[in-house]
Amino acid sequence: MERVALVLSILALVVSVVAFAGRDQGPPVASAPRAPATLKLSMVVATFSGQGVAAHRWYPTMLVVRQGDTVDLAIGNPDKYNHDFELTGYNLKTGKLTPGSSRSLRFVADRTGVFLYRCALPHNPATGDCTPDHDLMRGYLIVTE
Amino acid sequence: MRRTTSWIAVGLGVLAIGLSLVSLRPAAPAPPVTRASIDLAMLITGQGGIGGPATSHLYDPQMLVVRRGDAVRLRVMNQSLFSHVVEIVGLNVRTKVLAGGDADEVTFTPDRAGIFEYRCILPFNPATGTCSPDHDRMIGHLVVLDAPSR
Repeated sequence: MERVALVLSILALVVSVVAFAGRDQGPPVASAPRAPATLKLSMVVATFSGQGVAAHRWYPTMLVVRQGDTVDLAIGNPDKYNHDFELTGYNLKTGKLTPGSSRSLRFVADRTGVFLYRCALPHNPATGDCTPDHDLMRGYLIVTE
Repeated sequence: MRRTTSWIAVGLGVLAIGLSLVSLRPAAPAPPVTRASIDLAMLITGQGGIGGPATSHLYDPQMLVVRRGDAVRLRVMNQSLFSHVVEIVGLNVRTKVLAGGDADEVTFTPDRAGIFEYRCILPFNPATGTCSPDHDRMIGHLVVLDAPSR
């Protein structure tokens, strides 16, 4: 009887050791962190026309960077109207960009996620601020891990 | 001898139970990936757009990047003189027929990563004013990034 108990115990121990060795230790250790990059990028107000409609867009529409990268973004406004580039989530704004002017924003993309950029200047024909398609001047910064 | 064996058995049993309990510790839950809403405007333009020749047709943007699981809303406007239908091949996303000046809206949530072509699916036909001679070049790409796997 004792012998049976002993054998069973040893068996249980072996199973436990196997389970212990193969236990979930969480995600594998990441490889050596890569060096953050500095990305010098340009952003402009692009204008399109056709079918009697003028369209204004931020170009490019999508920016993809990795967490930790430094972004040096030069924003230009070749349009006839004023615009104001705003990157939500990072609380960055150029302030009013008059026709022909440009400004740079430099920031570290320290948070992952999807961040909207848009024109922060509501349409106002009296002051030459933005355009009727103000709401469509949008793009996204994607910060990946 | 019998007593000793019993004690060894009990000791091993306790050790086995201990190890089992440690091994059974549930894996740490994966941090939730916040799904984003991506709300974009797309143009079909016949004015050559940025740097293109005046007769070319293109999409702006020509490349969309989203993450798997992000909810995408795409408002498409056709500024060209011809009719077009935009389809994202492989994701079963399609606008209605867009005559010049028309607009439509599609929503979708890509459930797998990959690179998907979007293109005009109306063959060029000058008689009906559908699409344009550069039909085959009216192509853009949707890049769906895999969400972090943890």
